[in-house]
Amino acid sequence: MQRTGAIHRLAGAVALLTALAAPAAAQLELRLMAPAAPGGGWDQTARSMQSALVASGAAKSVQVVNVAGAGGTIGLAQFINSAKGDGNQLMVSGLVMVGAIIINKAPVTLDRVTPIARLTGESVAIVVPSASPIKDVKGLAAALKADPAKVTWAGGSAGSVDHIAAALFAKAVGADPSKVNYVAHSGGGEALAAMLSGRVTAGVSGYAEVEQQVKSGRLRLLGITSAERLPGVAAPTLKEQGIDVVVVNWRSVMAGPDLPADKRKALADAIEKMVKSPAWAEVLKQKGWENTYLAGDAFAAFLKEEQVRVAEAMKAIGLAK
Amino acid sequence: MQTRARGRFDVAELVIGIALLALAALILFDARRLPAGVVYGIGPGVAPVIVAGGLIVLGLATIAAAFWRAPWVEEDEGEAGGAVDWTAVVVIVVSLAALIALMMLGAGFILGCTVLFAGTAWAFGRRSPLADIAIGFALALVIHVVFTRLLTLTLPEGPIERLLLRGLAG
Amino acid sequence: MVESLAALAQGFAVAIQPLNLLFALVGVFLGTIVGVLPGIGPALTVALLLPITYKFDPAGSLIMFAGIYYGGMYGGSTTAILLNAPGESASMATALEGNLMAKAGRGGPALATSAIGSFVAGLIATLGIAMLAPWLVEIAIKFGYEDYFALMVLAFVTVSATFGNDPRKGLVSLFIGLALGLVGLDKLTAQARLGFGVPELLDGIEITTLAVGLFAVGEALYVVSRRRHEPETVEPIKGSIWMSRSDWRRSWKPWLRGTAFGFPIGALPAGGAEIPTFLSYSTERRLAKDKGEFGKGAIEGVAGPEAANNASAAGTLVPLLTLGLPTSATAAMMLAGFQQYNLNPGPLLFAEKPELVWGLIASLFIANVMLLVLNLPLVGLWVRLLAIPRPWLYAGILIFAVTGTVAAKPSPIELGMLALFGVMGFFMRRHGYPIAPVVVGLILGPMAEVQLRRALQAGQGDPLVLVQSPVAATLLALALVALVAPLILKGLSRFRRAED
Repeated sequence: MQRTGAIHRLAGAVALLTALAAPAAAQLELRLMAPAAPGGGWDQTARSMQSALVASGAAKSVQVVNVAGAGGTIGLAQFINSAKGDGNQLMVSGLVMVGAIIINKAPVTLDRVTPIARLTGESVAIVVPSASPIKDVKGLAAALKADPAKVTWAGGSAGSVDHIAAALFAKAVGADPSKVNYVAHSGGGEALAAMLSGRVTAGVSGYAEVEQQVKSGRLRLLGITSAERLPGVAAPTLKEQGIDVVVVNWRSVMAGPDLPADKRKALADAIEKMVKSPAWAEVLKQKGWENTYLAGDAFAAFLKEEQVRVAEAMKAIGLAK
Repeated sequence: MQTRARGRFDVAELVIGIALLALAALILFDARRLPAGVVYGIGPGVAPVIVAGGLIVLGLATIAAAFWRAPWVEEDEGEAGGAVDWTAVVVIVVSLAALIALMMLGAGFILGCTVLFAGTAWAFGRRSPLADIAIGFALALVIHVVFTRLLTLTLPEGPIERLLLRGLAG
Repeated sequence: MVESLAALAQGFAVAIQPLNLLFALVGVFLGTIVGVLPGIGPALTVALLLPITYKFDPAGSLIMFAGIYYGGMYGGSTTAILLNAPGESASMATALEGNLMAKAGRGGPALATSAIGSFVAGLIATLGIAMLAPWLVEIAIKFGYEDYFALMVLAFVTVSATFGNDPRKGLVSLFIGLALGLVGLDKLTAQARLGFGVPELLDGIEITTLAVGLFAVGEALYVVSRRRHEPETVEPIKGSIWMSRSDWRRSWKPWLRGTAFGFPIGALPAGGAEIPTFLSYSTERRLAKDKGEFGKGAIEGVAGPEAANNASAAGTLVPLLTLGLPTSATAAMMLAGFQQYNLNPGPLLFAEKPELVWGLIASLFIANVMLLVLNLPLVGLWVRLLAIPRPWLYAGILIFAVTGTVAAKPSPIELGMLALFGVMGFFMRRHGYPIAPVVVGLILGPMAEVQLRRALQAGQGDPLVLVQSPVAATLLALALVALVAPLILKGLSRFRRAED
């Protein structure tokens, strides 16, 4: 044991020497936190990044660390403590965390971390069962205005992107968002089952999850919440149908607090290299994620806007004061 | 589970009954700010009240059972009482607490598990701590390597884990 | 249906090629050894091993995938039986009688009935998928919130089977579980209950942390407290290591009944594996000829829940394959697996890629056979784990419990809860309070609350919705009968005795 240990240490020293001679980006040894349990969306993002970062040569090694709990806010608190000024640590984050911070009244917020880049997004689809008398968004809007109590919505957990989208929809068509009759479900499957059974008036879900049902004609797609039409998706956006609701479930990568500019640049460069690599393109294709790459100050500004918007939506729903 | 003569006073049941009432009070205290109603249907405040109500009834019944044994309850059969080795129990609980403390202090998974293993073996009557420490260390080491290397899961890190990581990463 | 059989035969032709058989064997082996590790249930096993399967062609990967899936499930049952450490909530019912059997030197038959029961259930359930899937899913999807609530009520009534001989103590345990179930963010309004500002509590109490704490840690403390009264080692084998003729006679009906509970409930989008295993356990307990044996290690109590567990896992494939609905964590992982081959499970899958669907169903059969081939010879080896001297065995069990807990949630608070539940389990054992109802309360309580509130919400607050659906009304009536019938029967027999 001891001898192999010594050999490994020797090998480590050699590796370090060669790394010093190599171009700057390839020596990054990253620790990437997925603030969720293995298997979920953030974890899949982290593990896909892990392989793409290494395959594209943007980093030498990436270690994924899962810290699950409370919508990512436990991971966030831990990350803020451990990653201060550290140019080798990254954390996966996203819109869900913005919401969870508000709902859980988390002691730390995303103001503390250094935003690096937005990476992916998933648009939200609004659907009705195929047997429903509601044929289009106008019909849904009319029903909602007539009596919000009678329009039941099925979607993900309380305060999720789905919930926010439903509330923004109600607000945009002139109904009271606090009266939205939204039935929260824990897993994607459960919510989808409720939509298929025809027990609820409408459903809100990530587009990829309902795609098959829409194609087979079991659900009718009224619109999606992206800003523009998605390539390969025939559905109209809500915006082009005159309802000003744009919600994208974006995922991003963040670095620790108080990061010196050079370290920030090194990380941003590594991420950019990864995003532009064929390995990442393959990941996006396989998982059905939209590429929403946005880096630097533009992303920081976007993050601020989203924080304000989500906080307002939560107030409107009644989840925050 | 001790057997006792019918009608004798049972301290344990009294304590359990009071603990149940305290738990009910805690739940009610927590639930006082939760709304019983929401826009549609019932709110998050209803279930706590139902559970607390059940706990109050059961707590009172348990306190009553400390004084009288209900006629329809059969005597517990089987395992008779006898001397309890409290020292051994405390040693294991302390080992568990030590493991948690070690992990909080950043001593890592392997060290914590070694302590727990050796402590438990001691409680069960073994008196060769050095051998048990060695076995516990080896076991924790193997588990750590399997979980972090082969399965890419994370376990709490400390100095030993970092040494391992550096050694293997090279 | 004839078409289905022809397509299935085609699938088999692919699955029994020697190389594919090897894939199945490797999959089952990996699945079993990873599934045996603490804290790693079938979903995580599949998640961790999924990348291995990418390297082969779709047919080979699917077959290996099926093997990993079954292996992972069986691995969880092994630890429940041998170490009293159920790796997931679905194998809790197995641990109840299974561990008692193992301690009485009957670990061999317990593992065997579990493996063969899983095999039988898997076989019938896979046939069920092939024959009934499109039809069954239409019924399953119609199951509404109020119907689920009624199913939970029925499950609650049957919990009394785990109460022991003092109903008050059983109810106390159940209500402690219900109280623990309140902890965390409310699922419908995202309000924190009993959180006390601790973020780790917002997700609620982890079922496996509670179960492993109460069962494994609590037992280690109880055994050590009484170590002067009991022999130093457990004898791992008393009598035959294999199932005797009477074991077979006592097992086959529970296997079939467990399958009958597991498959349809597993096919329900929110059915899960816990309810069928509880229902199976309490049914077997009620039907047992020798009631005294339950609580001392009755083989029926292992055979039934294990079959129910496996059948329900196969049942979750029904909504997954026919509608693309992932209704459990494992199913969600399988969905991720399919997507690697650009397969999108859903209503179009049977029409678009029939060869792969039937190939998968055939692989499940093959994986099932491989599970038996691999694991029956290993039973003898597993059982010998119990021959480890007691200090090391229990020290090892505690390490096991700790590892599983921190691997799932690396936080000192989670470990603190494990220790706390261990101490609670110790005192409950000492004072004769049953342990299983606590876990049952934690599992069923939140489910029942959420379904009830969803039903009322969708019905805009009208309580009549709870009985208006025929399914709900039937289930509630059944629950009432199950609650009242034993009392009436008892009363009648007392009355008769008085007459004599």
